[in-house]
Amino acid sequence: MSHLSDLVLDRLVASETDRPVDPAVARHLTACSRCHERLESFRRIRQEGEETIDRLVSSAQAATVHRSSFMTNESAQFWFRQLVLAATIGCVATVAFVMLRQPTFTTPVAGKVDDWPAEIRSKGESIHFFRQRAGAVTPGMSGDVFLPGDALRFVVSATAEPTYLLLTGIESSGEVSAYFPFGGSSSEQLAAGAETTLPGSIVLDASPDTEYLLAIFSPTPIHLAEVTQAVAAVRSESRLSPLELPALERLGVPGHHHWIVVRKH
Amino acid sequence: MDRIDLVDAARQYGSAILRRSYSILRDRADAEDIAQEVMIILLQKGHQFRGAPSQLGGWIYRLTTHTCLNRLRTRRRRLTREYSSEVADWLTVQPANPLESLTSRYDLTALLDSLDELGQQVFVYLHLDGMTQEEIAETTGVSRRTIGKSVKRIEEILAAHAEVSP
Repeated sequence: MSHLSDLVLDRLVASETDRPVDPAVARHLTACSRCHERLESFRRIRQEGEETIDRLVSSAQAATVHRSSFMTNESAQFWFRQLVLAATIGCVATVAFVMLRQPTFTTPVAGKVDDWPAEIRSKGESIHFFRQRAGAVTPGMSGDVFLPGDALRFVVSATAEPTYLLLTGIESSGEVSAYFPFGGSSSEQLAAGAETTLPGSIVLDASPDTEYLLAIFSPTPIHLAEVTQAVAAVRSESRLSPLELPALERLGVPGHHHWIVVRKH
Repeated sequence: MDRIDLVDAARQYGSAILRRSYSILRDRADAEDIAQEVMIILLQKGHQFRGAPSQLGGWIYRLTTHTCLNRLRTRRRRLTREYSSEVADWLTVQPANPLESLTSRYDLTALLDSLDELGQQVFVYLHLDGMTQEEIAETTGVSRRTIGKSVKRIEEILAAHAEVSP
């Protein structure tokens, strides 16, 4: 008999109080120390994770019961339909509003732009960004709503010598990516006094989540792992709910932080 | 199977769901998200399960694998953010090499890309769970013969990957 699969071991751990162990499996476990040890580790994982499992089951129950009681009440169903209708109208109105206000942003930009958002220029460092959509390049604002396919490009400057920059993207799920240096593991030094256009651009995907771009300017290099760990800690504190800026602004990572909120339609 | 049994099942298999999600995704937060999602589906749709109680574990395995693979696909979409050639001439600055840093880091992703949905599941069951082809057939509800073909295809792809890797 080959080694026992995870499925067999999980079944054993899950149902060992309900059913007797298959004799062939029991014989194998007696003879095979590898499978015996793995079974013990599965049991240990189960014991150590009891609290987490209780929390997850309770949350799942709450979500299910809420949905069940809501949907079985005819009156509630009527109001649910009204709510959906109202939400649809709201969405259409929002889209119309966004489309109507777009012309103020669609003036194509050639060369440099002077009217950068003030909130991302401070302490001798600045970060600006452009958005390209359908061939038109416009200055971007933190908090703007972006569409899948929009491409973002960044311009930074720093006066102090030396200044290092790490530009990261943080998904509301807590996933962290390095955008400058792209795919890198730590900050890269900037040329002091000069305005630098970062190479390449970020093309936004179709995921609807808000993304938080964090530019960290620092006198010494910052490692991406420091950001990843700090984000994981914040996410853990927020009990795995989607991350939001107020929580992220408490990241315990050194350096000057500049945030850009990218909302996706 | 009524609601009480399903809650019990969620508790009994909770550890397996979480451990398994972590094995596939390698991220604690993602694994907990997936475990939560699987449990909600289990509580909402578990009554549709028509198999014997002893087969419930396989059903939960399949559900967990499917949900994890979906999450991997979403991750993959996010990882495909790339340097766009359309914006190469922005501000007259040349972009960096578009493929820089995107290659060779996601061998698993590339591998999964080469497989259809069944192949992806078979790959996980075979190489992550150490299942036999019979167990995979039982878990997926697909014939042993089809699983055999899928395993053969996976072996070919793995051999091809081994040839191109240094």
